[in-house]
Amino acid sequence: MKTQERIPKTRIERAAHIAGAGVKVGGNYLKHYAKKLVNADVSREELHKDNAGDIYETLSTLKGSALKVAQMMSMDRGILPREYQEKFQLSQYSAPPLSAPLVNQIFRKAFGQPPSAFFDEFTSKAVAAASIGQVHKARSKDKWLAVKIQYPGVANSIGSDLRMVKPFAVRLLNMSKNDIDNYFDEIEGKLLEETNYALELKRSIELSAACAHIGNLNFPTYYPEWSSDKIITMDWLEGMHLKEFLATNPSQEVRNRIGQALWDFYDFQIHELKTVHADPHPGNFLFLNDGTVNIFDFGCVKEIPDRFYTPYFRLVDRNIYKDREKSLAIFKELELLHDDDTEADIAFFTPLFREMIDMLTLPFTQDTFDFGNEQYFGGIYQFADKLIEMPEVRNSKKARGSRHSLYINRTYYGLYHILFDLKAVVNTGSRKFY
Amino acid sequence: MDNSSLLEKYIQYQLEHGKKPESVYVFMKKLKKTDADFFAHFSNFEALDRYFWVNVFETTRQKLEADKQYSDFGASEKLSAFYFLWTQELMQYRSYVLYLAEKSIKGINPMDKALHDFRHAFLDYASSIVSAGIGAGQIADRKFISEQFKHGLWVQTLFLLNFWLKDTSKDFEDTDAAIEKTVNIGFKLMGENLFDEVLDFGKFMFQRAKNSFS
Ligand SMILES: Nc1ncnc2c1ncn2[C@@H]1O[C@H](COP(=O)(O)OP(=O)(O)O)[C@@H](O)[C@H]1O
Ligand SMILES: [Mg+2]
Repeated sequence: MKTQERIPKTRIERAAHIAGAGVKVGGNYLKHYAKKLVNADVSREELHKDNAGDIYETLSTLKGSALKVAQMMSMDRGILPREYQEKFQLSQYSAPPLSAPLVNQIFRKAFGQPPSAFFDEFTSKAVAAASIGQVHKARSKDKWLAVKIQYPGVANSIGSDLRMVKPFAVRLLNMSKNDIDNYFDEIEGKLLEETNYALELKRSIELSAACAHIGNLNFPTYYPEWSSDKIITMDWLEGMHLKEFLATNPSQEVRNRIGQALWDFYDFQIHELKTVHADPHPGNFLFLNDGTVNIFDFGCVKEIPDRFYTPYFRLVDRNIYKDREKSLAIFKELELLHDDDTEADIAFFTPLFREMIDMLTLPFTQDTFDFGNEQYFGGIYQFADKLIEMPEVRNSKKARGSRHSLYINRTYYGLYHILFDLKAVVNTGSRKFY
Repeated sequence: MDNSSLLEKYIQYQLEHGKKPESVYVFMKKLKKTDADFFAHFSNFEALDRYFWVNVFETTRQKLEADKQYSDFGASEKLSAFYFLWTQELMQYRSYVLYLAEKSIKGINPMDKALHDFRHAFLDYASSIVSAGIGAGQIADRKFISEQFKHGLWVQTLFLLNFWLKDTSKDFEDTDAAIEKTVNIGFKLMGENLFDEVLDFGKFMFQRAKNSFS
């Protein structure tokens, strides 16, 4: 694990960091347009790479909440999706380690004793980094355990971190402050929940019990007696992270089986439980060569309100567009369109949203879907690129899309991304939406 | 009466009255004791003031030394463990320390006479941390300069004390974070040339200031 230089600790220092990224990104855009004047072929990809690099560098030194916000922003409007995502996926693995005395202190505050009093073995160093803490491996009798420990003071800094990222987000997303506030509210709520390990423990236990029947998935047993609002203890899980797993060249059959298990997992949560593990980040799964997946980290869970769920999935039915009134009403329910939109706005945005939704819901409309299809995936990214090229989109001050879409879209993006990496062929058509 | 029960009554008196007792005589009379009972332990209130701080320090050190894991720790971990336990030990006296800090504008002042014995004991302890760090290659060994590191650690101690006093976070977790971060940074400074530069710059500034006054 790489030890980070240091976390900028004061508000001023952090603010300076964020301002730094803003300036650099601005500079990159300038460079880009200057180059474009001379040579029209300069790829946006290049610009995105520069931006993603600078923003990543800056935000990764802040860690935790600021990084998450950047992740969310990059996913929502399709801003720098591919380049960002690659960079951000690495971020999971580079938190600053907690010292052994600090780990003892956190244990003492929770249980009155250091880990050595509870476990027969306890690694003095972390075996994995978590976004706001780290994971140790421990043994109690013949049982191996994973103990996730949170960095002190994280929850306290979320509010001020977000306040500092906000102006930056306003610039990058070009939205009105009001709409940004609405999104930030959603994100802040989720981030605060993620720092609440007591809540995570409760949800982990509930959701893994509810999903236990799904084939080829394994969930750890959780141990409330060794858990607190800063500590979660569960069974140690074997398996590999996605990259390592793919490097072992798993057979198509194994990849399909895993892809199916993940699909079924999300399908059941979204449509039956209406509560979903909203962080399908490759760092949150451990893959095994026998075609099973180990699932943990229920830190980010989205409860889907009916008033969002119903219109969102009605759009799977392409026939809905035959009735203009009906489809416009649904777009409004989803806050993609607003009452004060002009006819021109409607004429401009409707086909765009339709294209986007058709693309994202395409797997639902087919019996089996090959997620390895490069063309399908390339299409999603091209679409995102097309969006930011459009001045109407860039300059629209209104948020397009309900706050609930943030985490739901992110969940689908994340899931599709993993399925694409797996090159899995999945039965996706079993659920009937209409 | 023993040292600690005298200390306890002395603290109690100040917290209740908002000031020191007028005299040893008055104080002991309130306790229905003679002043000889006091002087058998302390020569005056100032000695008791010093005892308070050094006592918390010694208690912390003894507890650490009784802990098996502590002896396996490296230098920086030892120091962190010290700060964690020390702030924990101070917790039972938090009201009193807040009361002491209120008397001065800048919180607990490193020059405070009451800290004298604590400071000596701490510098002694800090030397052992520094030599352990040098032995393990964690701290750069340089003539004259390494000798000064312990004073840096003393300043850090007072910084953390005042941080803890102002900490309003739940369960004082910000203090824990501050300890972790300052110890990491401190060891980084002691391991690199940066410290020499800072010291050199300090000397430079000191000389300039002196010259401009003379
Ligand atoms: N039960 C477990 N068994 C083995 N490794 C685990 C376990 N839980 C977490 N890890 C490791 O720790 C990393 C971070 O854990 P995670 O729960 O995802 O933290 P965060 O909530 O910060 O995302 C994982 O990517 C994984 O490598
Ligand atoms: Mg995770």
